[in-house]
Amino acid sequence: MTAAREATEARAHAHVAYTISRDGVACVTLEGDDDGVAIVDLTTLRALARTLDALDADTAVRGVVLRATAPRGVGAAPDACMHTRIAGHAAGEAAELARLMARVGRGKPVVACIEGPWVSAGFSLALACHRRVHSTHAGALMGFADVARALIPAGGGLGRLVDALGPRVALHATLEGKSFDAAAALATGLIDRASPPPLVFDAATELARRPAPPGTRRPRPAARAARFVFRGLVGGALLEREARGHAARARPHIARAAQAAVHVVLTHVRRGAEAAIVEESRLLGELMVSEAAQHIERAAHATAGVETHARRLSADVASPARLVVVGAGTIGTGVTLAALRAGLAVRARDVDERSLARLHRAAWSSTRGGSLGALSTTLDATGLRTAEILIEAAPEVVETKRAILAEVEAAASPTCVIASSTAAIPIRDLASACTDPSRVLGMHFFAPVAEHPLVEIVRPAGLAPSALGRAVALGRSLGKTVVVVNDSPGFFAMRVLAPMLAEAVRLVGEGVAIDAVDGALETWGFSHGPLRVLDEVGIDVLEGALGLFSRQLGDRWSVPDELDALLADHRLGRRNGRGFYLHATRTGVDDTVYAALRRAEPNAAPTREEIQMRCVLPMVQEALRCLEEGVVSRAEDADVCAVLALGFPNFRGGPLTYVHSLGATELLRRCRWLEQTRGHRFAPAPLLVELERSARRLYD
Amino acid sequence: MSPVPRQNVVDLPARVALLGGLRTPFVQRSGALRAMGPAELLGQVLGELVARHEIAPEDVGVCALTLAPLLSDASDEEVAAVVARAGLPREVNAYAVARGSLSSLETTTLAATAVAHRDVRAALAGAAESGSQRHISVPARLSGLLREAARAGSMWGAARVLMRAQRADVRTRRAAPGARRGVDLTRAELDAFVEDARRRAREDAHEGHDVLRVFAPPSFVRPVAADDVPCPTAEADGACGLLLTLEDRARAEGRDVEAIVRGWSWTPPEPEGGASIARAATRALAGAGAGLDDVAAVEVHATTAEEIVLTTRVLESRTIARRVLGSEAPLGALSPHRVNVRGGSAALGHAPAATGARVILDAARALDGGSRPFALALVSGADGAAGAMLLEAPR
Repeated sequence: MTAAREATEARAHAHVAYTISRDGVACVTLEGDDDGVAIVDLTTLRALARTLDALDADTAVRGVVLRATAPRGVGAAPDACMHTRIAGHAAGEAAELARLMARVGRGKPVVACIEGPWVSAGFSLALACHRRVHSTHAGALMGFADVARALIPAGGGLGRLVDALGPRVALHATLEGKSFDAAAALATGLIDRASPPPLVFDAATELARRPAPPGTRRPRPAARAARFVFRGLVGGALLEREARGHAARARPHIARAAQAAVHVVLTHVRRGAEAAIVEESRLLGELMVSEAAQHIERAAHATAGVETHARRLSADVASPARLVVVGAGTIGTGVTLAALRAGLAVRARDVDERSLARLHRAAWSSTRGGSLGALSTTLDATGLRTAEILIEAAPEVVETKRAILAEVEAAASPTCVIASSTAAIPIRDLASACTDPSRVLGMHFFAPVAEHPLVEIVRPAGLAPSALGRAVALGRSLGKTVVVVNDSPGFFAMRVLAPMLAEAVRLVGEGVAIDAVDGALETWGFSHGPLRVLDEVGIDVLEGALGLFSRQLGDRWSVPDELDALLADHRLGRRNGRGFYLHATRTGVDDTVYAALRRAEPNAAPTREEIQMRCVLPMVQEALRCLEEGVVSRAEDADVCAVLALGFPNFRGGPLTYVHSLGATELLRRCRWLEQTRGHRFAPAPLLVELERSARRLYD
Repeated sequence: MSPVPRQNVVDLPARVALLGGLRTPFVQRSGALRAMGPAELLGQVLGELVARHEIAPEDVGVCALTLAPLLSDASDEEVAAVVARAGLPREVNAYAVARGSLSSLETTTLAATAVAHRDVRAALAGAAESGSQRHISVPARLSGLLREAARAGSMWGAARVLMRAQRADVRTRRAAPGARRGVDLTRAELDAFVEDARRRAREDAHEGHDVLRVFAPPSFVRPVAADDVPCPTAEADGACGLLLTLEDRARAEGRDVEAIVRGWSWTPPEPEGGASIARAATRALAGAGAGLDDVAAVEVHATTAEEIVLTTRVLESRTIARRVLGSEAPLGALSPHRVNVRGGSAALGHAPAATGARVILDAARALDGGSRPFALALVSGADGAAGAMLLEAPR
């Protein structure tokens, strides 16, 4: 095969390149952009259509393999590859996109070779091909992530999925954003073959030599039966009822998109593919100009911008291969597992052998009995000298962390970068324990590390640029989005999160029900309410952070009395199984909290909007202060950090985007009202006052 | 079988230093280490060994290993799995050999040769035995017979081999090998030998120092450690690894050296039990111009306790040695407290492929810097072949 490729002719269109092998199989490659993402948009599809026209006219070509060699194609996050970015917002363009997709399935056989994530428009494109071959690599998957982005699948992909799986299964998969790996795709008949990574291209080539299947692909019997049932009067009514019920349960910002997806599916079942594509284009045109979709798109762009910035910072630095993690607690274990997954050699150190045993167990279960990767553990300070970067993940006690840093600095090599995973303690206070503070920085991971896509890297004054570059390179190799912030108590994330959590605790202290507080914020768009988040963060951690802030950041900060009462009741959150929620055997609110706060039962009933504003505005204000004080250097860093790390709703863009969507004047008015009624902690940030006066925008 | 010359190799072009070694406990198969394959066991040991000695993984140029019960053509994937698990670079020259109980002695000689010829900065040798994965087990004697019969070339030849073996078996039953050599060994003496070995293992001051605490799935309740009951039969799970580099380099980098590898010797199977191992020992000593009086400790592994006792008596008895070894006379007296100082396989367990490295490691540990500068590591294989390695105390 290699020899054949050498004798190929090569031509290139924009974003699309192809080669023809001697045995008459053309390999068409979708190229990635600067972010390593192969984007399927009108430009790409037009180029692809031109390429396919040329190949159809070439009598030497028997079939086509379509693959993406984007660098982040394999192992990238599902939404990082081949997602919908359609220029313009017109329904006409959506219609053209559908027409171009349909072109792929005509003519000579086209086989999609799925070696990485093919999601949204990428999935539509794969479905439009005659056949699909899927890699068994864990990073290879297909699915529609559009509804979560307040859109619907483009290019007739939803109709094709309905044809393949039946309307009910297709709708569930679309509304829930379900992705199909090789096993699931094979079981449902979405793909023709699943092959291990080295063989997947050869399998696709072999299928491409076969003639194109006549007409549309014949779905599995279950899907055929479902179509027959749901076309009937009763079946159709049942389907509609279930689908609309499902859409009604969707979160508010994606409700319109969910309803649109239901409408497209019902139209496809009742009136056929062409009518469905017309409806799909119309609805997509409407959804694309919605505020939610645009904010989500903006958040995605901001994330891409942050990643580009991180790539520049680590451009001249080789990604570290050997890591030492000191402390095998929640964060230490999470970092270790992420590093092992990324192929790094990790040496974990803890003073408690049981913690190391738990770490080994976690590593074992995360690999499902496969190889653990290069994990070694130690109870003493041996074997640290060859590490390129060391992450301290000890409990949040300044003295403990300083002692550990001083000890490991002596044991590590002089070029080793030392990072503390502290969530709030200023790095300068820790680095002063080391003889060479210029290589000490902060790497704030968020628990659970595997699920949070972000790491906050803290840059103290005097940090060596090479140390920053190596830490950024490590964060990127762990698959995280890296936000670099400047040293300050609480950095950005904890400082912005803490006032929100404290306000939620105060609300409970005033007699508001726990589920009312969390429900209000979840309705506003947060994935988890603040009290549930507080259980995860740790009540003692919040108390420590607020104490630190009140000492170092001024009298705006204070520790609510309710926190002391909770700590006196031995409530630390999930860590000791006692918090606002039940964690051990049952779920739901732990009603005994009210007694701990010396209240018989919740008896205050502020409006939902008041709860939302009391919790959200301190967060927005603190983000403004961080920008003003230079903790974050760019507005997009603040927004990305809040969305990815703190669960700030992405359809609102982030706290600084929210300043503009609400309007600085309105925000200032609400802050002043809260300051008068609730106290000094709501005093408007100077930057907010300035924004209101100057009508300046934080984003261009 | 790997094509390794069987003659003495004592003229190494440079002094090779044994920086240290590490092993897992050798525990009963289907026991605490049952869920760990040989690659996982050995990878963990080698990774920890490199980490403890703070060697940059890029400096390890050769990794000679044995993964039992996988054969010498152990798949490249298994070897690659050891390399990945140990955190070594993919480019390391890693390969597998298999020679039963002599395996890790052989991997050590390969690693030492690579180091001595200045091909690599550091080399790893090691082996893992996973008795739990040995789903079919054939007695060593039968296995040897079948191998010999297969080599006979014809059906008639194979039948003759088997008939000869049967006659020999009858002869052996008639007179124990010890009796034939004038060495009387009673059951009580053998029991006392084993009990003494266990006592020494318990009293060993170094116990646990070079035994890795292994966190083994699926329980992970507590690490499998040196105090787990070792398995003296050949059905154990365990791994052992050694780290070698040039003595000059180790000195320049300020590293502690356990021992210097002075040479080794291989001998083929001999009809008399204990003869091949004694011959290997005397040859290794002769190569360095040393005698048994210069040896601080002898670590010996043989298939049975009886053979160990025989070996020591052969080594120290001029009469017996002359009869068994011919002109190669013993080189001095050997008191019992210098044999298997840390207990030997009877007390520490026997994971066949990994035992050779364990014997070398214990021999090196027994060097006390006193007036006797050498230590002998002796290993006898199930087929009767034997190997010896002479170690010298670092200056």
